[in-house]
Amino acid sequence: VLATTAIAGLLAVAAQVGTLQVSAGPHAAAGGLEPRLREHSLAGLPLAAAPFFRSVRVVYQGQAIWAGLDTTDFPGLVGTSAKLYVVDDKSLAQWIANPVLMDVAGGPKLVTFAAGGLASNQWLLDSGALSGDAGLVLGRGYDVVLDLDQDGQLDPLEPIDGSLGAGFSVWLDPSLNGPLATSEATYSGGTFLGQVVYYPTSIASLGLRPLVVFSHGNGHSYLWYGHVGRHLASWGFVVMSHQNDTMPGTETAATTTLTNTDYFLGNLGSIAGGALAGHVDPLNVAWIGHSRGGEGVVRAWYRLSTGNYLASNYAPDSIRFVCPMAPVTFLAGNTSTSQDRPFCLLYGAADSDVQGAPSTGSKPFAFYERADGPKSLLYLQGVGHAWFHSGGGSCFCSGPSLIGEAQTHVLQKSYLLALCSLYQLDNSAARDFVERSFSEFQPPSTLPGVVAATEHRPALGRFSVIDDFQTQSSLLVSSSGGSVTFSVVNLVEGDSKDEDGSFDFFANVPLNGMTRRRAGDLTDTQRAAVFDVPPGASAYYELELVAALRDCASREALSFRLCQGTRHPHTDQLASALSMAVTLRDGAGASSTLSMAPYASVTRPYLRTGYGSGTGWANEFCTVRVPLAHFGANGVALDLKDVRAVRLEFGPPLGSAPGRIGLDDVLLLDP
Amino acid sequence: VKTSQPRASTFVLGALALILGGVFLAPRARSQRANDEGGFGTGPEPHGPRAILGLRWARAFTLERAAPQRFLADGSSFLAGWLVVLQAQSELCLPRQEPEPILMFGAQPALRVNHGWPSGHIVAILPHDAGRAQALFEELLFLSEPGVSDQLGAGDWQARVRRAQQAGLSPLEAGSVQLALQRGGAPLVLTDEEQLWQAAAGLVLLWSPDERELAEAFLLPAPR
Repeated sequence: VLATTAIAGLLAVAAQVGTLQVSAGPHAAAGGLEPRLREHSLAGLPLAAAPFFRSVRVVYQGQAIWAGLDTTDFPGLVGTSAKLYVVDDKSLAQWIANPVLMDVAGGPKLVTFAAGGLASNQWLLDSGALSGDAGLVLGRGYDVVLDLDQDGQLDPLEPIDGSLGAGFSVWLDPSLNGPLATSEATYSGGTFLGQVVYYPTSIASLGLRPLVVFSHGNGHSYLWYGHVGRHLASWGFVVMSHQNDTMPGTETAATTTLTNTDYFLGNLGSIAGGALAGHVDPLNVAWIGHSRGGEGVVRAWYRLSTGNYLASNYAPDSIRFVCPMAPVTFLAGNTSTSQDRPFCLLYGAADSDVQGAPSTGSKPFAFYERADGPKSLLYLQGVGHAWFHSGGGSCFCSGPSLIGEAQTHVLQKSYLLALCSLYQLDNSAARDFVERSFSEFQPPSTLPGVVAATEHRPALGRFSVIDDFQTQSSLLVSSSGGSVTFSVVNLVEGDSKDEDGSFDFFANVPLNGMTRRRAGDLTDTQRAAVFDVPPGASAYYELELVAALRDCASREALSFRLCQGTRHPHTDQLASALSMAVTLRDGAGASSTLSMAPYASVTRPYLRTGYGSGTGWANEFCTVRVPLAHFGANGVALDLKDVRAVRLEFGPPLGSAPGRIGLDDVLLLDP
Repeated sequence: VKTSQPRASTFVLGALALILGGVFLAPRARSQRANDEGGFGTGPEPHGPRAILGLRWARAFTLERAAPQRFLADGSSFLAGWLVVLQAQSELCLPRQEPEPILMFGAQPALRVNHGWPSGHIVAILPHDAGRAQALFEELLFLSEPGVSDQLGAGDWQARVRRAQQAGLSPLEAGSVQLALQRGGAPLVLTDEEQLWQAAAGLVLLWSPDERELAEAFLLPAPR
């Protein structure tokens, strides 16, 4: 009777606070959950500073995973105990059908809730023993449950991280081959229809599999992507790499991407002895292209989507994902764009062919700027043009700290596997590869010292713009119409281009180092702001939130991107990655400040010479993404339903100084 | 596990013997890769029209079915021309992603089959109107300024020829053309584009063996 009474009391407390529905992490998007279960973010990693804990979707096998609970959201739990379970991931229906808790991490942990929020309520779930082996699925999913009444089953109102999708996933090293043996075949369907296909040897038992198409660059071979082809095939993808007509240009390359995809999907009955017939999903295709083939796949998408090319064996909706690697930009921006397709750009800062220089050459970043779909970018320092293939020869690289072909392939295989898993297999855990900064989340085989800038943005319609500098040219008004105040100096808004032939900084080219627009292309319209933070100074850039943007309680995150201005005296003086802080202020004047250091750092431009006398290559935008709930964590009295201002804080005490800084895309992200 | 289809070599040799049949004067194979050349591979960026160093091999051909002029954006096609092997400065032949020198024959781009790196031997298809057999002696064959063929129009091609003429470039010396044609042998009668590019690929194997992968891609068997 006593036990029953105690349990009833605990559940009553839980029900009373009602805020069990509050979710502070990436799982906050669990709208539409079965009301019986209380989705709450629990799994994550400790942080050294506020908010002291953050949710993550992925840890690698061998790494520790923790649970954290903000008890300021659940004051009634303070002083009570519960059992913490890590269980194999189950679907909502499976949980409802069978709520029994079976811990897989050495038995449930007895935890006692303390006052003090997340700093005082963190528990090691597993120190690295959990398996990441899930067969053909990249990452093994787990759910985390707080069994408040300690009855060994999931009851209504008990917090669960993972009622909809996994609470977290343990991944094997994504640069390593998957579980399947692979086969390959070479053949031709005619002129410029030479192909090689890599596929799982056991494909007969695998049902429909997604297709990944590789389109090579100029002077390259369709055989030079076998390192990725075999890798993806070992994880269950069918990969076709084709002969590409690149010498005339990228229009012809696009044609060969279109025709080779058509030929392949139309001839599955004969390719590889018919082994692929009935096992390649014509509605699930990714296009990945290198250099001239990079623009080729983007242009191919545009032609397919606009009816310029009528495919016989696939349709525009078949293309799930478009990914150029070190692409050229020969074509006008409004005809060479991935539009609403999921998009990723891979590019190396040491590229000595497609250099992205401040002159008339190609500007690979322009593809990222043009994309309207969910998009991401991985810009790797020390990576040459040729290391994205395996054909040997010159690296086409220039600059210090070259990481080599092998390390480039590690990163390339990891990211492409994650991105194909995300966009072609709906592996939501792979969003970590898109949304988390390279500075805090890398493939496990990344060598020490590798530096990369990462950017991402959700699809249009999944965010609201506070300021993207595309409209409202006044320095005192944001794109959304709110007021702008600042103490940063030398603030300028302008076109994100640098076409003076030099990366050296001159005051008359304030957006020096910005290579985000194709030279002379009026259809590329990207703009940004730049400013200085003087030596030793603190300075801010504050954006008022207009009435329509103030309710941030249901938003997922604040996002913005920053870069350091190359070859500027302040950048040279700082000589390191840049950190800063963000303050949110509500209508009552309450504020919350977080250092952005745990979320992302802003890379120092790659120390490459050329195009002027100084040292430093293109400006490297880095997206900083912080969950809005983190500003209200640990009992901070900030009203997220009435946020009035976002202040970006530079210099001491939480940031670096001095700095020459570029800013763009200050956004509120929806779940 | 590797489930290889029969690779090109057997097929290639048979096909080449049938299609080409003429006298080859192939260079000794060179085996060095691009990275043996030193540097970082950026190569020079020539800005003016450049003459080729010579014509090594040439053979007239006719097609039963028209082949597309892949280097022109206007959708034109051709039924006759020459298959040629020419010698160029190898440093102009390094493959690049950014605009490269464009090989031109008269006021149109040649159909360049390979880069010619590092051999300096470029295999090309030179389309011409049937009946203008003297074109090989009369038209300019040269490397035009770096550009992107599929983005250029008729006016651009004419302008490039004018600039080449202004730079003092002239048609090939008749004796060298005659010698190249003798090396090539009797005119070739082919059915279609596929046979034409396969013939050209055979020449790449012989004259620029470091580009074997490029050539063999045109010589793969049909799937089975």
